[in-house]
Amino acid sequence: MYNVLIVEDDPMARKLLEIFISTSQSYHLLPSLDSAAMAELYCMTNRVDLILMDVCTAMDANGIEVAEKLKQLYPQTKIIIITSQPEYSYIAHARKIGVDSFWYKEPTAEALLKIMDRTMAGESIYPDSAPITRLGAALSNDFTERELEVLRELVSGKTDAAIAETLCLSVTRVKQHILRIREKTQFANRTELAVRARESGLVIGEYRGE
Amino acid sequence: MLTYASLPMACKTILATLLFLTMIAGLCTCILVGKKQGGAKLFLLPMCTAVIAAMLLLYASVIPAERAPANIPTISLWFAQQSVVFSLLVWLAIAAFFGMVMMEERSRRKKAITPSSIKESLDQLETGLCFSQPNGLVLLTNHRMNQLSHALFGKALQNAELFWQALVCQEPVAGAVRITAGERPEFRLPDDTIWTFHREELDGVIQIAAADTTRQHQLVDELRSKHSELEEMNARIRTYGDKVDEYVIARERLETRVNLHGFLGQALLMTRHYLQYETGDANRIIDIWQRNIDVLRLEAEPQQDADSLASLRNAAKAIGIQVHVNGQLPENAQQRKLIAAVGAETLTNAVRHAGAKQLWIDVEKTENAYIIRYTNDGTEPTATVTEGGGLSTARRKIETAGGQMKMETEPRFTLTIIFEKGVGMDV
Repeated sequence: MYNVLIVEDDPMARKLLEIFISTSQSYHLLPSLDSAAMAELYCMTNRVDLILMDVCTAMDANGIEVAEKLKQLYPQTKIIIITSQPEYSYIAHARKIGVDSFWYKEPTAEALLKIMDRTMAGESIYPDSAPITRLGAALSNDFTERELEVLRELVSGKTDAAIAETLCLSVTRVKQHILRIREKTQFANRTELAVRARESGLVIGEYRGE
Repeated sequence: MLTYASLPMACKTILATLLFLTMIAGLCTCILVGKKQGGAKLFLLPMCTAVIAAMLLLYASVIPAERAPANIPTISLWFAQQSVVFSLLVWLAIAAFFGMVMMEERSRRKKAITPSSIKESLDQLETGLCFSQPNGLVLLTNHRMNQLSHALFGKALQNAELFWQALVCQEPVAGAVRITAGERPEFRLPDDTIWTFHREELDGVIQIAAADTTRQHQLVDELRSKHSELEEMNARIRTYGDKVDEYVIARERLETRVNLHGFLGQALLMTRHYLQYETGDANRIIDIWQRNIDVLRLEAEPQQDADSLASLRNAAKAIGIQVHVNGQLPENAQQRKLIAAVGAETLTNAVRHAGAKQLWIDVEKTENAYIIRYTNDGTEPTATVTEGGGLSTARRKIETAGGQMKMETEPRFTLTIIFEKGVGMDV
């Protein structure tokens, strides 16, 4: 039986995961955490075979960043990143740091248990891409990677000059990207664009996947 | 036919004199032009000589009425016998020719670059200009620069170096206002125009230039105003960003609830099937109901996010570690979150490196700040404590929130964070 640690800040989602996992005889649930900041401490004091790690957790701890450290310290511990956010860079970042599997939350126990079983069997399961989301008149896959980077900084509330500095671009280039994004989405102004982009979860401000 | 010879004496004298004077004026013009322009116009001289000869003959034609025809050359007699119209045409042709030469010369003078034309052009410039020697001796200055000197210091520009020194550091006369000092002094004049001065050395000549930058300043002001609006808008986006997280969480919870209700329906169907046909696994159905009841209980409870410090305490307790929090915590949720995050990082390090079993978080509230000290019961570090990735991240977050973080190893390892009032987030 594998010891499973759930790191999820939403109590209802956490409970749902616990219900899903408790239907299987293969897994034993450790007390769940609401913050990834405490996960390392748990791994130090308990045998943890599998961690279901949410990305945005309590205390503003980022699950992917913590997973990177845990994979270095406890490479034998399997980690599955779970999220409902369609943030496009999560998958690539998780893969880069050696996370075992990646799962977009689904309301069925079977899907979760299947990915857990396969991960514990040594497989690495990743979705082909982030879920396609709509942003105004555009779909998430209509944007270039650079446009998404600019959009992320815009969502953080930065000025064009600050975005240019962060991404090492000229201010003119940043303005061009924003204009192109607005043309694609058909949003009337940058405020509406920033608000809708934030709501869509396509880009999570401050998260850069580095 | 009215010939020249048949004219009254007075008319002939006037006409001949007029022609003669025209010839003299033309000759002088040609000599002058030929001298200035060199070889190109030298042909004028022989031409003038020829015309003078013709005019002398014309003059001679006045004589037949007064003197004996034997003394008059044949050509003069021939000329005297020609029509007056012919004489006038000759005169007009000569006058027109010299007129053209004079106009051409005038035009040439207008186009030529001369000291006076340079001064004239500079005076027409909107830009103020002053050229001087390094000692300040003015070589050339224009009207605009003189006007500016009067408007700023109430006197004419006499020494360029003294003028520049005044521009750099002297206060202008009443009505004019200095905007900036230094290498690019700027002034607002009483007529609300703004002038920017610049000094540079050009091959040993000092140039002081003054440009009207009123429009640029207006544009900068407009840009600044727009920038300020943009800043406000971005601040609103940041605020909204924090709120949207709550919205996203609420949306996700709603989706979870919908899913939970689906499980309830499934349990009802299974129960109904079991009661109707008495088939199925009763224990499994009981398990499902038990879980549904747990979920319903959870759903019925008000969904408040657990306090970060309480979460930390509970999580630590689950693995046998005590977290003690003493003192009055800030009410600001973000600061409490940061205090808990630093607590989690400190505790992890204390357990890993010092085998700690207890963590103390002591909060001191002063008049101007909250001071939070973290200590533990682990073994004291023997080597220098370096800030790892986790604490560096914590420091960045604290500093972004306007706080400070410091580490001390004497007399015991203590990590302190300070949130001052009025810096970043108010305490």
